[in-house]
Amino acid sequence: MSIGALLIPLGMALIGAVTSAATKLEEQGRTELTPIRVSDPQLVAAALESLGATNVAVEEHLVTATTATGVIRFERVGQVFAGVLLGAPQEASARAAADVEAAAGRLAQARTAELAKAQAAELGFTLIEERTEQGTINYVFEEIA
Amino acid sequence: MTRRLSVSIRPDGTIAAEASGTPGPDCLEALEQLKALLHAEVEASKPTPEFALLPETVQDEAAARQRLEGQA
Repeated sequence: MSIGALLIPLGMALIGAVTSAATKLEEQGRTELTPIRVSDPQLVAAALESLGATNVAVEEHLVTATTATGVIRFERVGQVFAGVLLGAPQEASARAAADVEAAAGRLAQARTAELAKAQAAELGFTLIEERTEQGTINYVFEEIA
Repeated sequence: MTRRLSVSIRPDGTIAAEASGTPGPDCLEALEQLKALLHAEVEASKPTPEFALLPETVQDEAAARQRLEGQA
């Protein structure tokens, strides 16, 4: 038999956490903040840096940086971070937060791909197939007999 | 049957995975292997269609274990 699963890497959040952050922000009337699926401030910072942001400052509950379009600020809302591009229209701000989320996803993808290969042997598996299709990295591991 | 883990790591960071080749509800233990392999949390999991071919008692046990895992 087999089982299928959807997994979320460490540093990123389950979709339920984003939904509850959005609800919380709406209740507080803080809809200028856009929640993203990132729970680790270091990952938010790395994503900002990968997009060319400067002056990246990281605290446990707050990440700020200067981007080409202005200062962006992420604060923790529940389990995730929510971002706003200061002084920008809502649409531009949401787009900037989405760009950071996408960059974080790419970084998490690269990190997970490396980890999986490194961990496989330790768990008794060997990599038998590796291919990349439309940006998705596919691995097949087989248990070592 | 050889145990096999198929993993698709998407550009948004999410991971679709399938564990096969494990006997009966032991497949659920494969989720633990996937978590360890990928340093990830399970957002959702579902037995694939072959699961429906198993005797009901095996399905019940697997479902109960899955519920317990969800509560942990």
